[in-house]
Amino acid sequence: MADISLGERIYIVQGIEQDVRTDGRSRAQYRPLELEANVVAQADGSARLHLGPTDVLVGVKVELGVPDSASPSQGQVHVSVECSSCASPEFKGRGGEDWGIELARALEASLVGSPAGGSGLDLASLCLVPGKTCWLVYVDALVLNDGGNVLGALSMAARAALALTRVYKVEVSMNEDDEPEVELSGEPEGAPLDAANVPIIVSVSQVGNRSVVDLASEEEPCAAASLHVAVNSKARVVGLTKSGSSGLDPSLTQEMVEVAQKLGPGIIASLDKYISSIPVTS
Amino acid sequence: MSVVVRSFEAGSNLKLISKTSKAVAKSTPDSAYVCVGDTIDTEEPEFLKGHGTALVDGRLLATLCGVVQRIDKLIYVQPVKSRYTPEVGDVVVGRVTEIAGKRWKVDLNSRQEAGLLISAVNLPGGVQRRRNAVDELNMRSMFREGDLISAEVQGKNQDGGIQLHTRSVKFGKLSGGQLVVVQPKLVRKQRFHFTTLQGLDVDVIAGLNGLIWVSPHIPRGEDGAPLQQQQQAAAPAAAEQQQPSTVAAAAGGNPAAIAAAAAAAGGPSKQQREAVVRVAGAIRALAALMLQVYPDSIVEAYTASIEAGVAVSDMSERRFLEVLAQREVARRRREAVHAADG
Repeated sequence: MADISLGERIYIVQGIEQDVRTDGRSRAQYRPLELEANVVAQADGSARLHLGPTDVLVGVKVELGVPDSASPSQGQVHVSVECSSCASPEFKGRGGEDWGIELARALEASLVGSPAGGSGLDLASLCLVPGKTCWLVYVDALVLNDGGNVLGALSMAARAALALTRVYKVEVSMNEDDEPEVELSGEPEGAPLDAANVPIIVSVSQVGNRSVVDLASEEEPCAAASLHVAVNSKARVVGLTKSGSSGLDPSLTQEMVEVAQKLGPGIIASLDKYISSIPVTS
Repeated sequence: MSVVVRSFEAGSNLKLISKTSKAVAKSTPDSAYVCVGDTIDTEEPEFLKGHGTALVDGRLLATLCGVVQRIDKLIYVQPVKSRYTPEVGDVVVGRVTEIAGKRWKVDLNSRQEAGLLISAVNLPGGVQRRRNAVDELNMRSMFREGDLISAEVQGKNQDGGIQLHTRSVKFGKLSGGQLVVVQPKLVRKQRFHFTTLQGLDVDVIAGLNGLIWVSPHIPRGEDGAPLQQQQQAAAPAAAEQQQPSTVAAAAGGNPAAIAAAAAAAGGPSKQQREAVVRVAGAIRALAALMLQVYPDSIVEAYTASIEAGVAVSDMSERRFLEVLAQREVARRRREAVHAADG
């Protein structure tokens, strides 16, 4: 369907002002997250997340590779996001490519941790032999339907998929030429990837003069600007990007970040609780 | 505020429907429902195969999921999910997608796009005259791309295209409300499609194409024309008179301008809006259970949600759907008893 009309937009903006959104939610209310764990058999960890009509699928694959020469003692994370043309007619052909790249960048920025290991994945722990061998983590996401808040859904699905990921146990030994050799250990079950510090992205948008979270697709065109705040489980802001054409008021910016900080840890806690209830399958 | 995280259950609503509907006597045999590949019973040797069927090795198979319909010798499958099939005289709600020459193209969620000719609309001011080139240039001032309109199906072309008209004052642009989309089949044909729900002060325009417009009540005259344009319904127009440049920007999609227009225009009260949103929630809940959507059923679902003390945002949740399904079972039982008595 084409964009919504001016009359509908005005109605939505007024509703957000009155704290009654078109689906009855309040401004700071998320839609229920519905998860499916380990949906892709070939992946080392995967999750499909439904957020109202929004539907995203994230698969994680862990492979052996060579570290980047610029950071020889770190593993690597590669993120790709593909927008299915089922999600929206705009994504037909190469239509969704630009947006996919944009989403992948935002996601990658939130997943790649600092060298100190304060946020995201601890890349240093993914290195097996400095300069020679490390783990490459491929996070491949597919947007199956755009019902609003796709970036938020992707980040939550990515966190869930990473937490479900099992990494093969390997043994590193030195051979006669003093070259390290990596061998798979006999254990069938891998070790879980440490995703405890991986943040999720809470998108807070300005509609009228209010800050709103988890916009539905019909609300998105009403937003003047959105802050995508990456928050970790300790309510720390580890990343911040802005989208939308208008500038943000300083006081509102503060409020929006605070909204994200308040919501983030709760969502992460609920996600973790759900994931820990899933039985481990090999 | 905590966020709900749970596992996704595909088809849970369907399971709920089949579980609860077991309690009521079936009016149709099991074989009336078919899935793709199911064999359809053909008692008589002579039959006409219709839509959704195929003859394979002398057996009639279904090529669609749905209900088998038999009219004389014709056997066809009425699919559960389908696009809207227009009939002349249907009241529909659609969205303008394009302005092309002398007509607006309107998306009705049907197989083909519908057309609304400029000669099939009432010109502003209600003047009856020949449409000229100036009117054609001013088409966008009446309906622009993205606008929702209510209209009536005037006719069908040879190629299946749909012709609409808005030649009555009750039809036209919709604003100051919200849209709910359901399966076209769930909207029943009624005597009146523009209704005000009893005691709720909420207007519902049930488009037969499955698009339902829900808005705060606007008093209408005998002819169906709004008596006094409520402020919020006329919001864009009112704002246009004050600051035309802002509205042009707002229509262009500038969020800041939209916010300004929204602040300038008076809207429904919070209480009124909550009623509208709850009605929309009731319609969504009915559609989730594949129940017919008509004024009585909407009011029933609305009342049920209030009695159950369910928040609007939880109206599509399992807990409320179960309540609603139970009520529907009770209603059908009562009807069955009634029919037996009569």
